[in-house]
Amino acid sequence: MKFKRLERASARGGIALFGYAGKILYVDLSSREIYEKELDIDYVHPVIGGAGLGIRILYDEVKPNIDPLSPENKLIFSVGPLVGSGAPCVSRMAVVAKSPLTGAVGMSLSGGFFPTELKFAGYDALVISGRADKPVYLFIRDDKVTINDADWLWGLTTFDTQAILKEKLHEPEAKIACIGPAGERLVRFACIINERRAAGRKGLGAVMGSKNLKAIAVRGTGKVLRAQDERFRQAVKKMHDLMKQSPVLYPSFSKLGTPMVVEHTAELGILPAKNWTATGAFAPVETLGGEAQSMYTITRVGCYGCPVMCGQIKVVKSGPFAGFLTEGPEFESTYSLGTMVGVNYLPAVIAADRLCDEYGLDTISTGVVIAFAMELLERGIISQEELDGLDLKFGNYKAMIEMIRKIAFREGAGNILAEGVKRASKIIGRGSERYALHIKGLELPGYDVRGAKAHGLSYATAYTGADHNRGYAIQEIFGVPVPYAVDRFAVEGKGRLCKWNQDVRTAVCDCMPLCVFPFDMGLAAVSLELMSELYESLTGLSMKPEEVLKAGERVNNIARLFNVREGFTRADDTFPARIMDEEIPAGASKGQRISREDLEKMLDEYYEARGWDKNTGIPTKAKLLELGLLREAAHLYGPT
Amino acid sequence: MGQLSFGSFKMKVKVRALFQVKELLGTSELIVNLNDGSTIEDLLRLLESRYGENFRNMVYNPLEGVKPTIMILVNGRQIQFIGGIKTRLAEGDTVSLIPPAGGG
Repeated sequence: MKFKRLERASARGGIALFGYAGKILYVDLSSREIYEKELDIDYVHPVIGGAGLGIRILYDEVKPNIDPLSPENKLIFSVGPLVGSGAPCVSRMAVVAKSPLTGAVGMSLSGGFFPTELKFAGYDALVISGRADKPVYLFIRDDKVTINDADWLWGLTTFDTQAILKEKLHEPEAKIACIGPAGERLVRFACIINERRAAGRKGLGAVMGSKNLKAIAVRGTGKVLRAQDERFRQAVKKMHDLMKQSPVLYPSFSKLGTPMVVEHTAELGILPAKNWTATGAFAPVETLGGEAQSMYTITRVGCYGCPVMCGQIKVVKSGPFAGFLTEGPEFESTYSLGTMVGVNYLPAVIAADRLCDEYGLDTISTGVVIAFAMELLERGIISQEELDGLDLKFGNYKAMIEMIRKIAFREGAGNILAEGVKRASKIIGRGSERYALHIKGLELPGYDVRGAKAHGLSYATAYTGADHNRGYAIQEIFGVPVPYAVDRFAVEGKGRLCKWNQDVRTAVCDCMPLCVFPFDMGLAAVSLELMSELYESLTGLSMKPEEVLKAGERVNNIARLFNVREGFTRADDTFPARIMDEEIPAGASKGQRISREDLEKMLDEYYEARGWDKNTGIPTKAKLLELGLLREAAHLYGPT
Repeated sequence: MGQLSFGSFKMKVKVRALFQVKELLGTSELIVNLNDGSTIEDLLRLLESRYGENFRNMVYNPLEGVKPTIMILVNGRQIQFIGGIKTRLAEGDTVSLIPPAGGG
C-alpha cells in the first residue's frame, strides 16, 4: 500500500504538524492488514509520546486479562517528539506490551539508530497485533510497508539476522530490530535487539516471538519539521552547554561508560553479590570496575546524534574467551553476569554479555535466574543432576555460560529457568520462593536498595516491577541534590521523593525521550524547563515546565490503571523477603534492610503523594479527574 | 597503601578515594594518623596541606568548603546528614572521597 512521505503527511488541512511525524502504523499479522492512523494531537499531547503514547495505546487497545503471548497482545514501538529533531541524546524508543514476565505493563527503552530511522520513515509509533501463521519480517521503507517470509531467518542469532537481512534487502543503511533464538522459544525474559542495543527487560522479545515476527527493518528518508527553528536551536545550544558543564559527563563517563558505577556502588556498599547474600563482601572492583574494563576497550560508540558516546566496544584478546567482542558489558550486566553470580573474571562477563545479546536474552534477568539456581544448588535445595550435571556454584563461569545457552534454547534445566525466577521457583517448590529475587515477576537489577531506600521504593512501586530506570534516585546513588539532598538510609520523605523521581523521569526520559545519562549527570536540575523549551519550540504547542511533570504523572497513572485492571493491588508493591528480613552483611551499608514496617510507612506516604487509595493502591477518582483522565475515571468509577 | 602521618597522634582513620581523587592521592587507600577528637575538617585540612592546589580544586578548599560535587562518606553515611565537616572521627573510621559519577 502507498503512504505519503513525512513532510507532506505532516500538513493537515493546511496546518503543518511539527515535531511529531503525524502517523501511527498498524500491522496485524493475523490478517496481514497494514494501515495507518493519523496521530491525534489531543490524544498524544497529554502524554507527550514515547512510553506515554505506547502505554496509552496499550491501555486503550489491549483487552483485560489476555495471555501476553497470545495474538491479542500488542507490541508497540513508540518514539517521542524529540526523536530525529536535531537535539542530542534523543534517539530513544519505548517498546511496550503486556509483559509475559509480570502480566503488568511491559515497557523497555532502547537507543541506537533504529528509533530515529522509524521517525524518519514517518511514524510516531508502530503497533503490531495478531500472529503470523509462519515466521515473517516486516520491512518499512518510508511509505512502503511489507510483510515478508522469514523462514530462512528463523534460528539465526540477532547479529547474524541483522547482517544477512540487510544484504538480502540491498539496504546497508536499514536499521533492524529483531529477536534471537530466545525470543523464538518464548523465553519469558527474551529481549529485542537493534544494532547492539536492547529493549532488554520484561520479555518483549517473547511477545515478538509469539507473533512469529523475527525482525523489523526500517529505512526512513524523511525529516522532522520544527515550528520555531531559531528558538529550538537556542535550546539545543543551551543543552550542549549544560552537558559540557557537567562534572562527570566529559571526560569520565564518556571514557568509562556505565561500568564506572561498579566502583561507585561498591564504595556505597550497594553492589549486590551472590543473589544478594554477599553485598559489600564480594565487590571485585579491581577486576570488574570501570577502570579495569577500560583496558579491554578498543573503541567508543554512541547512539544517533550523541556527542557523549558512552558505548564501549570491548574485546578479549587472550585466555579461554579470546576473540569475544561486545558493546558493554554495561554496569547492569557487570552486576548480573559478574558479582551476582560470584564471577570476578571480566573475560567471562564479556563473553556472557555477548552471548546474551546474540541469543536475545535480557542480561539482568538471565544473571539473576542463574544466581537463583546457584543459591539453590549451594543450599542443597536442588541437585547437580537437576541442573543437567552442571556444577553451577557461585563463581563457576563455565557453568554459567553453558546455562545461558540452555536457557536460550530451553534445554533441560534451562527450560525451567527460562520462565524467570518467579515461575521457576513455583515449579521447583521446596521453599525456593524465598531465594527468587523479583518484584511483580521482574528480576532485581543491580543496586542493593537496602542501602538506598527511595530507589528501593521505586522498585516496589514501578509499573514494570523491579526496574532501576523508572524512578532512579539520583539523590541517593550519586548525591545529586535535585530537587534536594537526602540521607539514603532514611525512610521519612522517601514516598514523596519517589513520586517526583518517577514522574520527572517518565516525562523527560521515557516520553520526550531524553537519554537518562545526560539527565542524571547534568540536566536534572533544569530538565523540566529545558524540555518545555525544546518541546514548545519544536512542536509549536504549549507545554510549561509544570505541565511536563504533570504529563509524567499522567503516564504513571495510566500505567497503574492498566495494572489495576489486571488485578494488581497494594500487596504487589512489595519486596522479596531477603530485602525486608536480612541485613546487608558487610561494607558501607552494613546492617541496612527495609523492614516491613518501613516499607508500609514509605508506601503510605507514596500513595498519599500520588492521590491513590492507601488501602488498595488504586488511583482515586479525584486524582484521575485532576489529570484530565475522564474516560479512564469513567472506566473505573462509572460515568460522572 | 600510602601512609600519611600527622604529629605523633595515634588515632588511625582510613581514607578511600575513587577515580580522579585516587589519581590525585596516588593511591586508592590511605591510613591517616590524627589527634583524638579530630573532625572531617581536620582531615581535609591535613590532606589539603599535603596535596595542595589540586586537592583544593577538586575536593576541599578551606575558604569555600567541600566541592559540591564531591560525596564524602564516613562509614557509608554522607557527612551532611551526620554533622557536615564538623563530623567527629573515631579510631578505625573509613572516610570515602567520591568524585561525581553517573550511569547504570
